[in-house]
Amino acid sequence: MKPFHFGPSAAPLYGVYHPAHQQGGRAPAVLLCNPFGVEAIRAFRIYRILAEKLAAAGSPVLRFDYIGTGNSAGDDAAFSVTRAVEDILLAHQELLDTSGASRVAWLGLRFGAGLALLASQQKPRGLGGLCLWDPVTEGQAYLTEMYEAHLCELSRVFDESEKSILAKRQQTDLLGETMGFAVGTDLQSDIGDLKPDAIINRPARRIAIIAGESHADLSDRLEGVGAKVTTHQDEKSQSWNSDAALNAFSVPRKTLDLLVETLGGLR
Amino acid sequence: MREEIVQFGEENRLTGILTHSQESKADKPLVIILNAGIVHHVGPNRLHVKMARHLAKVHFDVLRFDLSGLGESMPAAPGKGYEEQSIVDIREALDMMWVRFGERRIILAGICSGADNAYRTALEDVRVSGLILLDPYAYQNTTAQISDLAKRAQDPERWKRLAGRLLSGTDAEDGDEDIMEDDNDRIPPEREIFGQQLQTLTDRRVRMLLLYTSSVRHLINAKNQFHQTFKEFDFSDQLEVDVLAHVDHTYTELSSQNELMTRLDTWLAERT
Repeated sequence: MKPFHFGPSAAPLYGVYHPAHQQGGRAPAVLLCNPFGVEAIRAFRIYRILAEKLAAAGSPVLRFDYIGTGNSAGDDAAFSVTRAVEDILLAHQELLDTSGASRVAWLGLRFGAGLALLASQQKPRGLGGLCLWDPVTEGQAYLTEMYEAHLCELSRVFDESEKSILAKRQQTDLLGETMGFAVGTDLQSDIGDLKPDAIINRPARRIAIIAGESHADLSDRLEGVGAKVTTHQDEKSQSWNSDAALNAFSVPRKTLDLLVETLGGLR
Repeated sequence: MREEIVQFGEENRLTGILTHSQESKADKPLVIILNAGIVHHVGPNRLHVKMARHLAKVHFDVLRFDLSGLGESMPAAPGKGYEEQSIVDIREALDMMWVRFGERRIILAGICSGADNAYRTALEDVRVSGLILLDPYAYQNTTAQISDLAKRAQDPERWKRLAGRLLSGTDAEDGDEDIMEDDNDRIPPEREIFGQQLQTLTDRRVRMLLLYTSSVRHLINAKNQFHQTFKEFDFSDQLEVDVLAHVDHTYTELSSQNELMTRLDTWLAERT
């Protein structure tokens, strides 16, 4: 496991490279695309464990932080959909160069899956397949979800009703942040534009969806642009996504095993 | 401002990010930010990144790193308990910082368990000259208890939520965070012992900033309660305490994050 900086020196990205334990196997290199905001904090440990499992199964792995997130350069306001898409493409090339692999499979979790789908529209060389883990591809619904989660969290931590929380704050302030992270108006607009219809080009020949809920619209859209889609229903796929799960060291081991198996087949 | 990934400690098992100030000044203390619970060195709400970069702008060199087995750090060899191993890890961070920057004063900062690890290390290592303790141990006195009970009793929504939870059969094993918060397994030392330890640090001229948030409102909800609770001790002006009643444990709201930076600026300017 090697943490390092890559990309432009003026605004470096933080990444961690996990070399494959055995060289020369058939498993593809794997790029892990983070979710956004508090979900990226919660997913950190899960991603590290997943990266170690994938490396043990023969895949070189790169996990990284988008600009404006995690350890990468930039404050919260530096995060944008356009920039994150560029970051995925940069990380993809970095993984190809570092590992010597010819094919890379991408895993996108939650909003990271939406970003991965957008990045795939640039048709990067060597993209072998996509695995979408509880993908977020309906931007407006995601904005609503983040707003409600933020309000609910404030109600919980201050032990006040949501009505009371709302009465003490400006609506624009509440919309402009979610669970500790800024969501400026430009970012809100960009997220709101995300929808399955935005996928025009076939993202990859093979796409796997692992989710607790149906993503029929997304699946139909992906098949409509020529991808072969397989769907795995996993009721525990979101069990990691709470502060309680984070603090309890909860790890969805069966989901991770399913991801290793699925990603290993995306070559 | 420049950031550098550092690996240090026995077998280089510890990983962290060193945020270099624009202009490193030998008279400025070095700052080390410790893990909050099991959250990795980015910190809850990316708060540790924001703190490190903010402090670097005012000439502090800052390290944030992961204790053994957390975040990007490798586990330590078995044999030591969590508290003992944490102190070993932090002292290895102090060693590394002195090698890199010379024998400068060191401030340890942390939220919750990070605050606990900071003050425990300060008791064992005289290189620590300052502590920034965010929600450190708190002790209830009668005033806090009455105020909190009165506030809770006046909130009908709270009772609705509790009733709903009980009716749904939700329990801590299902991940109910309210219950987990109440069942927090952070066990403080006896009040007298904590007071004596703070006195020891005060006598050693360690400067301390203690900020309590609404998450411990059932224990402390006004700054004078702290001094009442520890009235037999004399912490003089070495110890500054405040209660941020409108702020939650992990500084979720952006306004509270900004307020924290301002508080740190003021304290660091006046006390270091």
